[in-house]
Amino acid sequence: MKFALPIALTLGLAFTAGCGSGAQAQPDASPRALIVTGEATPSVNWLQLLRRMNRAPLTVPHLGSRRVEQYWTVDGQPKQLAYREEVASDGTGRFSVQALGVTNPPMSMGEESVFVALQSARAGFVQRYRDFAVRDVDAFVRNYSIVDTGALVTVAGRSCNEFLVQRTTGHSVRYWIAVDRETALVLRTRHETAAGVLLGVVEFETLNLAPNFATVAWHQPVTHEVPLSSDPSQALAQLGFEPRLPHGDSAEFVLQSATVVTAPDPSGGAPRVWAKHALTDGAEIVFLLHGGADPAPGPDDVVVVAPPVGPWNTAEGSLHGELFTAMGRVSVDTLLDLLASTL
Amino acid sequence: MNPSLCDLVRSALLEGDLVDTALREHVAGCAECRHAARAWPLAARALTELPREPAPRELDSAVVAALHAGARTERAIQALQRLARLSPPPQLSSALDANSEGNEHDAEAPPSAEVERLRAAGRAPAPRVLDRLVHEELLDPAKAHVRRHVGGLHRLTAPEALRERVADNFTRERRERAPRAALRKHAARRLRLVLGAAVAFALLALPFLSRPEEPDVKSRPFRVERASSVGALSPITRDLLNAASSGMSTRERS
Repeated sequence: MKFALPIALTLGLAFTAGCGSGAQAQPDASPRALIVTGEATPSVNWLQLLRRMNRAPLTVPHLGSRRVEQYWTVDGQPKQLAYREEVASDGTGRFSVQALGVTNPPMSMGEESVFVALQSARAGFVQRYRDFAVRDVDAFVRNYSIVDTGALVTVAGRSCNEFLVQRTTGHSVRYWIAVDRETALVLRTRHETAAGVLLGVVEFETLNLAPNFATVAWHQPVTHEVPLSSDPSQALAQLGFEPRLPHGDSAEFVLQSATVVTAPDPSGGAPRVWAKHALTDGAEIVFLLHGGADPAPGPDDVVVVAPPVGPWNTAEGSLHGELFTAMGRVSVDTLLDLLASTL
Repeated sequence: MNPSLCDLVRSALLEGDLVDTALREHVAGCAECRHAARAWPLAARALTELPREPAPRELDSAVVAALHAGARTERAIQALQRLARLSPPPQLSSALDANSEGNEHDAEAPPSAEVERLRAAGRAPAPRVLDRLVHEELLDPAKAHVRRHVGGLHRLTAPEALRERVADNFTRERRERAPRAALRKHAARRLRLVLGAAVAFALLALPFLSRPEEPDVKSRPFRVERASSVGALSPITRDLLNAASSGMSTRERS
């Protein structure tokens, strides 16, 4: 009996000491996730580097060729794709991404022509969403750690620092990136699972920072996608319904863009208007689409999760009589949480 | 944008050749024409090298039917009418005529005027009963064939030994069924008792045996289902996946 009080106090102290240190702690403003290995004082201003990496793709004039490799599992089957593309940016927002040819799998000339033509139509997506990028510095600092490996590597004849980027919470993913020391352009990205299985490589093979853009055909939008107004009444007029976004105390994702997209109606009716929101956790992109009233709602709210296509997951369904789709290089749980938070 | 020069560039691209110096100079200075000059030949080559699909076999007949609808039927009727009628052999005519005289289903004889007209044209009219027989045969050829021939089959009688064996078997089975039936009744009663006891035990013991399952799925305000393929997704989602995967999500990429 005489030991009961000390034991209770000890247990109480241990319990309270353990609280508040979990991975779900509230994020603070300082870059807690940045780690510099092997150096007492950082040789790099990390925030300044991240901001430069965020702006470089559209503000640094460049012309070059890249090699793209994908090692994905699709419908349970391992698949590989490797092709080369030419990229250009004039530093004022204009860009061009042109597929040059496929190196793997072997294709006939006709199949390759189809691939090249289709990739031209996807140039906007490729430029904005396909590759690793620091898409929002504050969100990146909250959700990722970046480690300077200390290695100096040469990519496309340029001297680069090598970093390891890993997500600190939620789904596991890592990127080995080579960042040009002068321009902060990401010249090489190696995408791996947390277990080290290679998912993809994007690497510049040539790079010209003072190019002649005379022969470049700048990207022309091919989709009828227009900005969605942030004013609720104007958004309602554009869509015919009130768009929904995840709400609640979510510091994980921030809104990057909002547009209106028109797509064919699967039931054969008039084309359907969708609100397309692109959210980012700092590096990855999640698309949240809201299509308004479901023409054939069921009795329950149901979300259908499709098999992953490489690192991409999708979930779509009818919630409270309205159509929603979530798609991103994040876990299924993250997508389902986002959908749940729109309700 | 200079509409006339851009239109000329488009026309030249459609013809497959951009040789005019002025047009090439225009292309060098016009972003939209430059884009078209790059993309159109690629698209044209892709389209021309697509594999050819054979037309369905029904297409030929569908086209003919559509072009000659109605008239084809009439042409067929006219062709049939132009066919010369063959005269039946005299023996058939006389045999069928003799048979039809006493047939109560026989319709009235063709009018003599009609018969005379046909004979004048050199064609002997077929007897009415022939029409009926031909009609029945066309309705069910197999049945007519069987009916024609089955009556002529020679009938065989069963051997006496077979009759005795069937009778013996029947008597024996009746004797054996009696005790087996009693045994089955007893076994059924026991089985009912056991099953009833098992159900009662399950109902009483279930609340104690079942444990609340560890929740391995996060609780959400909707039901989650798993699709077997990306084909189940809506078109807009499939398009996005296609773009994200550089076409790997579609079956063309294998």
